[in-house]
Amino acid sequence: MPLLKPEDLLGRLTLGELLFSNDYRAIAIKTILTSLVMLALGGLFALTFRAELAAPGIQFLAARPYLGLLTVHGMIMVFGFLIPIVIAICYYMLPGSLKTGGLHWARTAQASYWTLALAALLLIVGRPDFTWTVYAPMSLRVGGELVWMGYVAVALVGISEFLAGLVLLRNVLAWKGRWSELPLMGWGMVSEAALLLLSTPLLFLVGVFLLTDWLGATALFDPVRGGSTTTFLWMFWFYGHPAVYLPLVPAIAILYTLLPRFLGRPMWSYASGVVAFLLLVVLSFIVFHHHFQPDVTKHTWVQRAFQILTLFIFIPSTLHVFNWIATLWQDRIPASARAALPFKFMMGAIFFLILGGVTGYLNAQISVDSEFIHNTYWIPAHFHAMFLGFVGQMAVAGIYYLYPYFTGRMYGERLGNAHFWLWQLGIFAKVMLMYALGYAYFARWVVDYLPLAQWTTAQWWLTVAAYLIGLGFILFIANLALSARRGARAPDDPWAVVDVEADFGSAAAPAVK
Amino acid sequence: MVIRVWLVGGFLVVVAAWLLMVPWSPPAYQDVPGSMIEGYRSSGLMPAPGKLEMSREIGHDVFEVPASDAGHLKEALSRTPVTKPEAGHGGGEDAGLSILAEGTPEEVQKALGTTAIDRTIEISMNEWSFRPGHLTVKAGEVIRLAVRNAGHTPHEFMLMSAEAMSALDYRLERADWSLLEHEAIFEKPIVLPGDRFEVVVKVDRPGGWMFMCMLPYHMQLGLMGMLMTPGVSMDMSAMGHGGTPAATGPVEGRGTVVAVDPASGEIVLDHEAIEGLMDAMTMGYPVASGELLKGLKPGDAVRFSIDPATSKIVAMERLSQ
Repeated sequence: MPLLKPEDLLGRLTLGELLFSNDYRAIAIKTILTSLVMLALGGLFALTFRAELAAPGIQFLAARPYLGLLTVHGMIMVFGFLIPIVIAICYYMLPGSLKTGGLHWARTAQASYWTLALAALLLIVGRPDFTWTVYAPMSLRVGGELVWMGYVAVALVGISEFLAGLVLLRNVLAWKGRWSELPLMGWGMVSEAALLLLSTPLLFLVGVFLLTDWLGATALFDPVRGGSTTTFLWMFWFYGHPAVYLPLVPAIAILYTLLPRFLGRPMWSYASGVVAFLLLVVLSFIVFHHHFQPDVTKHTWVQRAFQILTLFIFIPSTLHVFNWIATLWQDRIPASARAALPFKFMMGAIFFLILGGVTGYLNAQISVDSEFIHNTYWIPAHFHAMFLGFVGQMAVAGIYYLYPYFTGRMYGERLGNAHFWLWQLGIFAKVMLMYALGYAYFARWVVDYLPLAQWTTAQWWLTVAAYLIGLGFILFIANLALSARRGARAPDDPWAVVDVEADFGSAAAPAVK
Repeated sequence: MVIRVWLVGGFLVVVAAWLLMVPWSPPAYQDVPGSMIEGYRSSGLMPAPGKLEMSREIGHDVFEVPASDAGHLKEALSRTPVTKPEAGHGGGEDAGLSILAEGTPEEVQKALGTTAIDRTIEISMNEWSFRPGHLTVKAGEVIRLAVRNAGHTPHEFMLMSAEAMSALDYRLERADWSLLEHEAIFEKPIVLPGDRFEVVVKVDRPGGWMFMCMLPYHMQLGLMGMLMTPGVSMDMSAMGHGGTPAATGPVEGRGTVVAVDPASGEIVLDHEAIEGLMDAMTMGYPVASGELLKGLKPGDAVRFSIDPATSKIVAMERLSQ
C-alpha cells in the first residue's frame, strides 16, 4: 500500500511535468493550484460587485457588467473551484485509500483538466451575463456577440465532469477487497461517479442546444419560435440538482477520511455512512423540481411529491452529520487534533453544513418558498453556507492536510489560524446577513436597491464580511507560498495522534497516511 | 519554481480576467447608464430618499403611499358625479360598476338567484395581455366575465374605476409598490395557470373601467384592458378626466401590429398618439369586420381609422414595408 510521505514534490516537479505528467499527484496538485486561481478570480469578482452593493444607487457598475460579474463569479466558483478542487483532493487520496497503487485512467483525468481549463477560458473571454443557471430564453436574448462562448463552455464543463466521473468509477472498480470493507472514501467516489455520469450528459445537451438555438438552427428552448422553457428547466435541473451535490459528496468523503485520522479512532458507524451516500445519490435525481417550485402547471400532487422527496434529503444528511458528531463525542478529542488546522476547518465546515442544512428545511416548503424566500437573498445564503461554509472549508482542510505531503514542510501556524478565524467570522457574518436580507425580501440579482434602513445596513456589513473572507484568502495563499520554503520540516507522520492510542483497523479506518 | 510560476501566473490571469470583465473595457457593456431608481426619482416618479417607509399596518413588503398620492386620489374622486351604487364592494362610493357575484359557476349561480345575465364574456390572460383587451358594454347590462389564466405564471385580476385610475395614472410608469388594492372595485388576488373564475358585474352608468394584473410589473408589460360604454374613451397614459366625451367622427392613427386574433375579432397595436383620442401605447382594439384583419401579421406597419363612439377600428391599411 503506497503510503503518503512528506516530500518536496513541488520543488522537484518541473513545470512541464506539472502540466503534462500523468502522475496522479501532479494532476491533483495542478488541479488544486488552478482551482485556487479560480477561487481568487471568482472571489475578486465577488468583491468587486460587493463594493458596488455596499450602498444603494449605482456607484461604478451598471446592470449588465454587474450581471456579467455575477454570472462568471457563480460559474467559476461552482465549475472552476468547488467541483474540481474536491475531486482533485480525492484523486490525491484515492490510491492510498483504495490501495490501487496509483490513479487508473490518469490520462482521462488529464483530459478532464484541460477540457475544464478551456471552458474557463471561454467563459472569461465570452463574459456571458445570463447567471449560472443559464435560464432560457433569457440566456438566448442577452449577452454580446461572444455569448456563444458561454454555451460552448457549458457543454465543455459537461464533458470534463463526465470524464472525471469515468476516472472515479474506474478507480473504485479497481478495489480488490470486499465491498463491505470499501472505505467510505470509496463509497463517496462511487456516489460521485454516479452523479457525474448520469447528470452531466444533460448539461452537455443544454450547452449544445443553447448554442444551436442561438444560432437559429433549432428552437428547443425558445418559446417565441415554438420551443419550451419547461424542457429547458427539466433538462438543466436534472443536471442542476445533482450538480449541487457534485462538490458536496467529495467534501463529505474527505471528511470521512480525515476525521478518523485526526481522532485516532474509526467512524462511529460505517454502515450509516454507506447508506447516507447512496441515498443521497438516489434522492438527488428526484428532487430537482424544487428549484422551480411552485410550478403550478403541474398537478398539485406532483408538486407535493417533489416537496416530500426534497424533505427526505434530511435523512442522508442527518445520518452523515450525526455520524460525525457521534464519532467526535464518543471519546475525547486528542490534543493533536485540536491543534491541527485541517481539523479546525473541518469543525467549521460541519457547523456551516448544519446551518445551511436546517434552513434548507424552509426552502423545501413550497408555500414558504413561493411566498417569502424564492429569488430573495435567502437562497444564496443557503448555498453560500453549503458551498463556501462547508465545501470551501473542507477543500481548505484537505489542502492543509496534504500540504506536508507535497512540500515536505508544515504550513505557518499563525497565518493559518488568522486565516481560520477570518473565515469563520467572515462566512458566518456573510451567511447570516444574507439570511436577514432574504427575510427582509431583498431580491437576488439586483444591482440597485431602495435606501431602506434594514437593507442598507445589512448590505454594508455584508460587504465588510466579504472582504474579511478575501483577507483570509490572501493570508492562505501567502501561507502556502511562504511555508513551501520557510516552513518547518514536516515529521514523518505530520498528523500522528498524540495523547490517545491509535485504534485503526476497521473498514472505516483511514488508509491514507 | 512551481510556486513562483503559480503565484505570478495566477496573479496575471486574475488581473487580466478582471480587467476584461470590468465595465470600462467593452463599450457594449456600458449601455445601461445610471440607476433605474435614480431615473424614476429625477423624473418625479418616485419619492425622495427618506420619504418611503415600510407599512406598519399592511406588512413588511408593502410600502406606504406617499401623502401626495392620497391628495391626488381625493381630488380625482371629487370630480366624479356622485350617484348611489346599487351594490358591490370596494371602489369608493361611486364605482359605477356593481359586483353581483363571484366564484365558480355554481357559486355564481347560487348568488345570483333569479337575476338574469345579459351576456357572458370570456377573458383569457397570459403573458402579457388580456384577450380580449377591450370590452364595450352598455349601461344597465349584467355581464358575466369568465376569466381564465391561460399563461404560465400566476396572475391576479382587478377591476378599477377610471376615476380611481386617474389618481393612479402616474403609477403606470413606475413599479407597483404604491398601488393600493383597496381602491379596486373587485380583486381576485391569485389566479393560478389553468385556473378560471367568474365575476358578474352590473354596469350602473356609462363610464370606463380598467382591469389589470397588479403583480409587480405585469401591468407595465401589457396585462391590462378596458371595459367601457360607447361614447366614453379613456386616455390611458393620463387618465385625469374620468370619462371623456370622444371626438365625433372617426380618427386616424398609425402603428405596428403586435398580435392578430381573428377568433375574438381583435388586433393589438403598438400605435402612435391618436389625436383627440389616445396617447401612444400598445393595446388591443376590436375591429368592425373580420375582413380588416386579413393578411395582417405581427410587425406590419398599418394606418387605421377608429370610431370613437364604438372604439372599434373601422378601416385598416397596411403600409408598404
